Amino acid sequence: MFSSYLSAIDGIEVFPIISLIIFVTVFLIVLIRVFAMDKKSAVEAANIPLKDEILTTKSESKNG
Amino acid sequence: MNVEKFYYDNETPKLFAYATVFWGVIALLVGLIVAFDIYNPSWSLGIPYLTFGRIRPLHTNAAIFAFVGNAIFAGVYYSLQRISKARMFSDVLSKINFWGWQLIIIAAAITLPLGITTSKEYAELEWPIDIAIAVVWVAFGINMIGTLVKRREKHIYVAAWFYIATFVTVAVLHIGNSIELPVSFWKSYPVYAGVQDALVQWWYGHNAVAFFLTTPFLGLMYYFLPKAANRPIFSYRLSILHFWSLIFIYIWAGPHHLLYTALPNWAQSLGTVFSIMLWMPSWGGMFNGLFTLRGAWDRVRDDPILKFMVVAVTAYGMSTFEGPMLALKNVNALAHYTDWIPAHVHVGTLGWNGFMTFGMLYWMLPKLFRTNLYSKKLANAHFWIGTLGIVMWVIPMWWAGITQSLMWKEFTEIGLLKYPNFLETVLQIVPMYVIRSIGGTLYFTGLLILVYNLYKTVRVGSFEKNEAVEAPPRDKTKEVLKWGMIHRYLESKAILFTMLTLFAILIGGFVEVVPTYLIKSNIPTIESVKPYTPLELQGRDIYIREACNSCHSQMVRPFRSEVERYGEYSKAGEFVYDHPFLWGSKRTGPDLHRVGGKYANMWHYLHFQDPNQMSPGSLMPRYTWLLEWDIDVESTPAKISAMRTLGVPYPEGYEDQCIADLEAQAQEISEDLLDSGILTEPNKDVIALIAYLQRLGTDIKANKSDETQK
Repeated sequence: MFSSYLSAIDGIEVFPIISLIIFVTVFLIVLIRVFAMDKKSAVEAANIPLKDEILTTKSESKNG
Repeated sequence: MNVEKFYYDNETPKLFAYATVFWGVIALLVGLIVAFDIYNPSWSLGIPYLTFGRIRPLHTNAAIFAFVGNAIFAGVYYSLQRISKARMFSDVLSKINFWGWQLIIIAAAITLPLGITTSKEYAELEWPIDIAIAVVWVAFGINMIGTLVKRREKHIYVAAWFYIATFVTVAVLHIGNSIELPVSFWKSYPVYAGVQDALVQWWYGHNAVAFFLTTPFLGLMYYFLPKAANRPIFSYRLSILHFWSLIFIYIWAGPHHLLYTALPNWAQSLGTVFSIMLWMPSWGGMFNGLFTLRGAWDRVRDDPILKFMVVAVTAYGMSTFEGPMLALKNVNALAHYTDWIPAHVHVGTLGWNGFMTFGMLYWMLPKLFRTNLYSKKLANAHFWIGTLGIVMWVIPMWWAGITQSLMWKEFTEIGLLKYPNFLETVLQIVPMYVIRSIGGTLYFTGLLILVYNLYKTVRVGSFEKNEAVEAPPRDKTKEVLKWGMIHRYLESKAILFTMLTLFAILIGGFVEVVPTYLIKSNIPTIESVKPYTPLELQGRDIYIREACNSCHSQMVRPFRSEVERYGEYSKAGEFVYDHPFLWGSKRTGPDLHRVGGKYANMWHYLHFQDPNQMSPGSLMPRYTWLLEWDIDVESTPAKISAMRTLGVPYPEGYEDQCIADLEAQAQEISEDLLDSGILTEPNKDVIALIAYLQRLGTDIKANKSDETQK
């Protein structure tokens, strides 16, 4: 319908191409990093939420 | 070992949890009222504040910002301290966050039924409340990032990345979409108009779903699911990939809300392509959640908390499959404006947000109160009743949406609309509305069971406001940037991480919003399109006050079935003076863009008095107060002047003349009504609203389509 109004803007067709390039680049960088990641540190990080209870000291508190 | 002693703040998560339950009950109750209202228009009892139009935004706002919003804060305040090994950054900011948020909700609950609204979906609140939201949100952000900066844990766990993305993006969206010019304390006009306003609104609307209903809940999933299952997340690497691709892609997909509108084709396609790409990271997240339970599925059978979470994650998977599918143009042509969309949305809110919240509350409150859940049995009952409720909500609405859309599009053999009377297509799906309201009642009943169960739990428990903890201080030895450790390096730098997140969402936002700015100078001016007269402008504000756009669209799409039914399809240039745009997103009633001149003034008058007089069986409530209330004439000059500031070409000094013009046009309409035997004073709301409706779409109305709808 009225989508043709914008086709007249100079250089507009470069937008989707830039978008695609930016996305693919970022995605590949993240992908490579993730695969190159040190496995031990990943396991360690994944366990962060499970470690917290060990640290809680018993009954002491400062209830106000 | 050197350990530091500190205290977790348990008070704030507890308060937010209570608020979640309280507002959850209210939001669902209001939802039930609208679910019944929609097929029992008389249920609004002739009270203006209870009509479907005004109450529907109250329901959506209460569900999203009050129920889900408080759940987010409860979960974040609980989990962030624990994954950071630190107390929240500032108790004062925590208090501002909690009480400020509740005050905003109360302000919304008062203003929306009063008709104080911007009309923009999920951003209906007026400018003073918008400012309050921005202040409270920033307080939350400072509190969160402050906590991360002073944390003892070396690394920032994945849940916190999602919290950061939520904070940053919602701030950008809220501010971007709320740029408006105040006319009075409770009235403003957006700076954008028409097509531009629609693009900004749906850039906001789409990403509000993404960054208010999705990313914070993924953060909660990454913390509470491993906690409830007592095992680490399936794959930490997958979570990195999930995070960056999700926040990067989500922001680009907004244009799928505007298929078949004035958006350039490439941007529509971009929206569609990114919507489909979004499916992958979404399902990556879903599998990461579900696989966490590998080898522990037997526990799901007994543990209601895990049940809630499993269904929540599955519902997330379902709605993130449905979303990309609805973004396909051919599916969208069928589904848009129908009940399929509420069905899609409710798989997300009832299933994903609701069930994740319930699972979290059942897990967290007993922990905070150092006790066990009062009754597992009741929690199980809640689970089954809630699940049945979702099924009975969603399936009838899928059915209703497809049925009605097909009826709208059906032609007879000789090429006429098979159902030319819109009402016929509505009455066809009323049974579905009835089943939906039963589904909603079941879901609500489940929530009441939760309230009882948690009340009993909390009563026997002992709560500790400040929980004593010991942890070693953060290892401050410099993280070395080396291959394979880059993401861990990033995770150790809270502010750098926040900046990168902001950067990622801004790129997508930029590509999406730039066309918006280019549009302004590129919409061909249509000579015959003129600004609204003062009376029409007042009528338009009454249309906004009564939230007519909750049920009526103003956008005839370029399909044969729509042109045949409504008239000439809508052109971008027709909306240049529409601050705000009123395209609507759901057709519970017919489209109104070409309603101008279609019926006599008398028809409208009697229709507002009682819609059944003109269309027997109509689901529209009576609007009798419009016949009694006086037009707010005094506000006209300020409105004219505000509109001129926004670029509407009213002549200089028109403020002095506008009231006289308004009265003259009103006099004309009341005389016409008198000719038809209706005696009314010219200063009534109904006169202004009729003036507006008679103007709609007439600027370029094609003559040939005038008669098609009769």
